[in-house]
Amino acid sequence: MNTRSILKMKSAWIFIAGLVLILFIFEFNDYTRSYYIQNNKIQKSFNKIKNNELLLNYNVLITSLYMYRNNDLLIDSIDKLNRSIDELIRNKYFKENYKYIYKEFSDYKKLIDKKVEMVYEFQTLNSALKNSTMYLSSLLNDLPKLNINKIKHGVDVDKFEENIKYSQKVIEVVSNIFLAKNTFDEDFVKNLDIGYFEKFAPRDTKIKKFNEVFLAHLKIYKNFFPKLIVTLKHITDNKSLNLLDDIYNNYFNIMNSKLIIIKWVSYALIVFIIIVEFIIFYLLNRLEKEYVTLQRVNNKLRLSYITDKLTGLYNRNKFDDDIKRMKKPVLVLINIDRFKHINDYYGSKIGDKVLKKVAGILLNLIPGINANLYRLGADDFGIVYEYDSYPNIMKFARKIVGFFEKNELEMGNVKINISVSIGISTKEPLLENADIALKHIKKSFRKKIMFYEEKMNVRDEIKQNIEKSKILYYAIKEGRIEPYFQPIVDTNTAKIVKYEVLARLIHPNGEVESIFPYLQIAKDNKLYGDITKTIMKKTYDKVIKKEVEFNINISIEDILDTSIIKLMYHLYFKNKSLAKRTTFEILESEAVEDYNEIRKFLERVKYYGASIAIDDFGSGYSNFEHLINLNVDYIKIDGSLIKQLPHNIDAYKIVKVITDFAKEINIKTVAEFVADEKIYEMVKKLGINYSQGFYFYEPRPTCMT
Amino acid sequence: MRVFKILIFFVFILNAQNLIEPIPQTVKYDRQKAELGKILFFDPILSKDKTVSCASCHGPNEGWADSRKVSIGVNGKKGRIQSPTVLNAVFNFRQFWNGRAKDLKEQINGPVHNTVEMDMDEKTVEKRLNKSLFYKKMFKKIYHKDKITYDMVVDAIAEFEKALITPESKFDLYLKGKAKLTPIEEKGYILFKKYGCITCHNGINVGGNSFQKMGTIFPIKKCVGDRYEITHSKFDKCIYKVPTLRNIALTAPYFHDASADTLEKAVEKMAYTNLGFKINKEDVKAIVAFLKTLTGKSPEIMREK
Repeated sequence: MNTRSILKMKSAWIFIAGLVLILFIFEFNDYTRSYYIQNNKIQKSFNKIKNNELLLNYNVLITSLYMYRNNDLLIDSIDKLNRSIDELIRNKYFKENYKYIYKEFSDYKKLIDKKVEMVYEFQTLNSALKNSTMYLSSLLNDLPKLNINKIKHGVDVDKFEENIKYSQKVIEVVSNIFLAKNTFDEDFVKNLDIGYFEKFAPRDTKIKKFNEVFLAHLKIYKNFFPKLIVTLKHITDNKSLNLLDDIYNNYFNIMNSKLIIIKWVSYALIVFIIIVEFIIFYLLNRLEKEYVTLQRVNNKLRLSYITDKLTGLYNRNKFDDDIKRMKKPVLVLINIDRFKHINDYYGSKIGDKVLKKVAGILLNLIPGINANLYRLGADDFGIVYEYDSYPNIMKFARKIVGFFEKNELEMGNVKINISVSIGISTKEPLLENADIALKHIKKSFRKKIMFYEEKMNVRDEIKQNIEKSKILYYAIKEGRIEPYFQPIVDTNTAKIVKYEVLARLIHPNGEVESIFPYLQIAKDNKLYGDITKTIMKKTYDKVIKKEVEFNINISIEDILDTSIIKLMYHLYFKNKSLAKRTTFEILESEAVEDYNEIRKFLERVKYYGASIAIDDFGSGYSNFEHLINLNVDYIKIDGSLIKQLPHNIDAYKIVKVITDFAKEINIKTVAEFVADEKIYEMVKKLGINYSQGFYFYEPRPTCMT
Repeated sequence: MRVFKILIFFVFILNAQNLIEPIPQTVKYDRQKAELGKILFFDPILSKDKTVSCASCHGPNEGWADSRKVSIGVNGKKGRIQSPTVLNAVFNFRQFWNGRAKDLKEQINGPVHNTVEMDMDEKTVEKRLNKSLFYKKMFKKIYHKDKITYDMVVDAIAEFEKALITPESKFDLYLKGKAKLTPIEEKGYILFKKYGCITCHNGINVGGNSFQKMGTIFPIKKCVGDRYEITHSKFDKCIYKVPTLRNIALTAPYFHDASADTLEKAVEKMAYTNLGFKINKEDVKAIVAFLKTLTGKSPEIMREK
């Protein structure tokens, strides 16, 4: 796994951990909130339940005190208590979070259910007792009436006494009952002499009836009152209330223990946040340090990007950047002359030292202005500054050139003389233009400093070249290259003896142009051979049936091209009579490296009976030795010399030397460019054998005399 | 301390209450459900042989009770006990004579399932009603469910029964100070209190808020359907929920065993069995006059349309 994917994984983990933490905090917040809300609710419920139970107790007690009371109040407080209990039982939070308490609480509910049953029983007992109490009190009303009746009817004393005793007994019992009722003490009821009333058997039916009813009410008291006391005791014994208190206390303890969890989690969160803060602080610190390092590396990289390693100067990159920001920049482009030779001669180590030294010298030569020195090529240095800060550029350039003319460089034991050329440009593109100026300097011999000028620009030439190569290409393709014939005359008789075949380019509009301006392009584009072939073919068609002699131009490159040689053989050498009429004009060039090939060719030409002429002799590469070695038949003296014959004594001398030499070794001479009579006279005087030029004939499409 | 304050507050409120409270003019109920419940209440579709509806034994013309001694259920089967009135049943603390149902909904299950009453099970009820396009439409409108369930049926009927309250009885108006009792009615009310009737017959429903023994002084013989049947505690023998005395003039015959066919006889019987004396005719007359002031207006839900 590479570091990048590890980093990616790391950040993914951190992201997930952060997400989990945020979720946790959310959950925790939720938990705490519901903890407070729900526990509040539960506590309120507990309070309500306790209050409602107390209220029920209160209502039971009040009901037991009053003779009669609205039972709805009791029923309402039961309902209320049950509702508040149900509320807590339905509380899901309570049920889920306090399972044990919840179970205890259902025990409490069972107690309350029992208690409610007891309250109903209490109601029954209480009502019956109250009714009896009320009835007993109204019975007392009837008691004296009974006695009065007895007296009225003159009943005997015993009976009377018996009645008195009965009355006393009744009063005693009723007073005991009232005591019991008001004291809630069952002892007053326990000792009621019920047996007396049960045994009491008066003959009087009214009294009998009275006793019967009285006894029934007494029995109710005897039976119900102790029950009522027990029931009341049970209802108010606080058993359920105590249980509720216990449950509440247990609940409270558990709730508090949960609070401790919340407390600790909060502490943990705070500690965690502090730690995270420290980590962030640490990471930020580290990041800043790394940033500083990164910047340093970045600066180094940038510096190496804009610096030349060898000389320590700024390089081409910096140059390109800088000139963009300048208003009116001047570039002084300094080139060490023939630096390649220094490298070849002394080795590149010395060469590098030279470059360093030159860099140092140039830095010192910069006048006190804000200028930068760049190394812009192998041996090119550029000084750039704002034109306005030092407008006398020439003075500055001369200073530089002068320094190197006067001083030699010392490299340890070696002393080297160098010179520099300077191209100056103030126009965009600066470097290109200064380079053009430099090229112009190299062409001239004397100048060392040149300003770039618009006319130096070769861009138009390039454009023209492209145009020319197009024209040539289509001319060849469409067969618009034609042989023209220029007569060559005997100098003495001025009669046509032969013709030189000249290639002409026929433009689509019929205009005829010399092939000469296209020759260089033909060579560059490898079309030269095609022109030669075309001319050879077309010439053949024209000369085959005419008994004329003719000269065909071929170049050294043509001779080395086997396909042309084959064609040549096929057309001109096979037919011996035609071969005898043919002369090949060869133009020498510096490309001649292997004279053996050429010699072989020339021997072959001779073998088939054709002749050889050297073209443009006396111009660039004319070599007398070659003339002898190659066994040529004719020399065509260069037209530029012939043209100058009437005015230039030097030219005359050269031509004379050539002519004399040719005569000596028995080679015929031909003068080209004989344009007027004056030249003709000179040619005649020099004894040149043949002449050719506008003075006699211009080239024409046919070789008819 | 706080609890104590609250107690004081309650004491004040509770003691401010009268022994008998007037019935409110209206109670909260869902009118739509109640109207549906009303249709169900009168529809015998809820009984096995489709002969008995709720109204068969709680007839509007019989004080929403049964004028027969015992009610007659499906296939002419006789019940064991006298039908109590549905009027103001919502104010009872328990339902049935022995209070075995804690509210109206629970009560409805009783007669529906009872083999001598309607003799139905929940599934049959659902099946029958779901077959009825009318009921399906009605229930859908109110409960927004495609299928009718038994719970919905009970809910609707209970809602209707809630609406069966009888406000503005003469006595309620008297309590509110809006009417005067005649001397005999007033005498009846005083006797009602003096003889201790009020110890059991109190509260909003003049009864219906406690269990009491029938025959405390002179026991009665037959105690069918008493609280003992539920608790099996000896103490609960012959103990019944105290019936409401509201509209008592309309709901003859009286007692669980229909042992009194007039109010006078009922008063005499209570005086004898529970107080142990023979009440004189004048007192009976006065108490009956008072009892007649407890007849209220017919329920609002039945009046309109």
